[in-house]
Amino acid sequence: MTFLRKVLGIGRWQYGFEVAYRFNRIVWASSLPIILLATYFLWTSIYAYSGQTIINGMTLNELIVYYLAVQITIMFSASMVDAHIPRLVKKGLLIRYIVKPFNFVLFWFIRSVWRSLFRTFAVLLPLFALAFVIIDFSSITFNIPGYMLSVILALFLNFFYIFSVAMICFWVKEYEGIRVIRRGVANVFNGAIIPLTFFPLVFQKAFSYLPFQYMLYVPIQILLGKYSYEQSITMMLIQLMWIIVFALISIFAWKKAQAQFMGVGV
Amino acid sequence: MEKSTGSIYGGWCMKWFKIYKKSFGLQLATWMAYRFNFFLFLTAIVLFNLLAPLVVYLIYYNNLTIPGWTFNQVLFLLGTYILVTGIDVFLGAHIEWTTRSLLKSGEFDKILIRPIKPMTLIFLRKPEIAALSEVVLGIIIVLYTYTNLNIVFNLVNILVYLILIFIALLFLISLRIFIGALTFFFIETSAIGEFVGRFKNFAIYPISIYGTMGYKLFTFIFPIGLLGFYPAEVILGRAAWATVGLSAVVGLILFIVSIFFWEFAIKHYVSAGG
Repeated sequence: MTFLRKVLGIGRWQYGFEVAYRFNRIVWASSLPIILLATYFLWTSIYAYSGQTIINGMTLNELIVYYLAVQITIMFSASMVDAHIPRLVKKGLLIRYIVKPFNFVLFWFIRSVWRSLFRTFAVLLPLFALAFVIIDFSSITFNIPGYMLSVILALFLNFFYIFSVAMICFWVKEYEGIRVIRRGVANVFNGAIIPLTFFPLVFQKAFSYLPFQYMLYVPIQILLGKYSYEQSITMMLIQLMWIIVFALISIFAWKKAQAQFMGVGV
Repeated sequence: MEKSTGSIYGGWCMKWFKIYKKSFGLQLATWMAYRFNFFLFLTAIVLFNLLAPLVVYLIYYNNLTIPGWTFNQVLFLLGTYILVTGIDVFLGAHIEWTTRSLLKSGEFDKILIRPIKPMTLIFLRKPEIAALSEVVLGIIIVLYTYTNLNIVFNLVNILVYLILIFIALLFLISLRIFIGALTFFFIETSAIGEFVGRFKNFAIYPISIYGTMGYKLFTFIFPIGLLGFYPAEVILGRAAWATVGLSAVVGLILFIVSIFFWEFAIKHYVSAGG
């Protein structure tokens, strides 16, 4: 009960951040369909010019759904943890969080989940307002339960991966450059900019040994029904394996980081 | 004895140049305090700017085509886009960013008490040095693709290309001024910045793919065609001059309007102090 109250308390706190500048938030949410619209025009012209209906195993409709799912999945599974912790460390404010009677890693995970929920909820309306105009949803057989399960795993994976990388901030004077690189690398390898099937085969093979595609590409492929039941289970088990790997790294790195941290005025 | 208009303008320019030189030195020193981070930042900017060329490469790698454009032609367009947006971030980003941060922290007063126009000071005081990597990348892509395109050298086309880049830059800076000015009313305008930034994404690809409506919108109302499409069309020798000219005029008008809007908005500033 106490734990639940704490979880709800963090949720109320995060909600305060989300609605602090409402006009700003509305503008932000309504700007997201712009990317989808640009992508729609680009691929419509490419498909029309090529004369093909299926390119790399995807119809135009599926590809647009893919890009829609990219935005929703990123929104749901993203974590801001490496934007906050390094700033707190640099300013010496981390101590405020360490002294709280709550597990540090768990606190940031719950805060990430609340943020994801609020933001996903905020963008669904503008995204689907456009999607219903440009996408024929009836032509695709969606695996929604499989996607839900996989995207929750992606949320865990993303959080622990980003948390692990964020721990570097305890050993470097300035972390921001690492954060930007981390985001750039993920965007290429996780299939955010283009489905991984467009890459040469050797790269596709290499990507399967990295954790990035399990954060975005795999859940979306499950949603689009591109994997069989067995394949979906295998993919989720691999997601689980990566979660365990990064959760262990996170816990280990956090322990080391605490020893490294010097709080101002402590 | 009265000073001539020429010497007054000359004096202003020298003053601005001195402020800019000082600001550049300060910014460079700030970045250099964390050299490794600076190097990572430059790498990250280059990496981010290579994402769009990577998508284009993969499109053409899969034997697909953006209608009416070869790989090198699209790359030339992209190079121009990266170059223009890079200069915009280098010169103009802080018109938007600094205005916002000073208004949010209640420190805008210190800009107002200086013996120089507020917008001029904001423009001069913080060049975004890290964006120079974007500028260099843009230049490299433009030069690389220009040589690959085997275009017959045409001085007029190159001059028009450079003029269009200059007008595109004024247009982008006008957007920064608009957003900076809106901050006087809304305080938090980062999402408006993001909104405009996302709209600029339409300019990454040839605007001809957006249909007649999109083409007209991005030429005559929100002329992002100037960021890459029209300069590339000019160099490729297939530009419709009247359309290019009209689009450039729209870009210039927006720049002038943005300055008036800023002057109007700054009158609505209310100091946080007593």
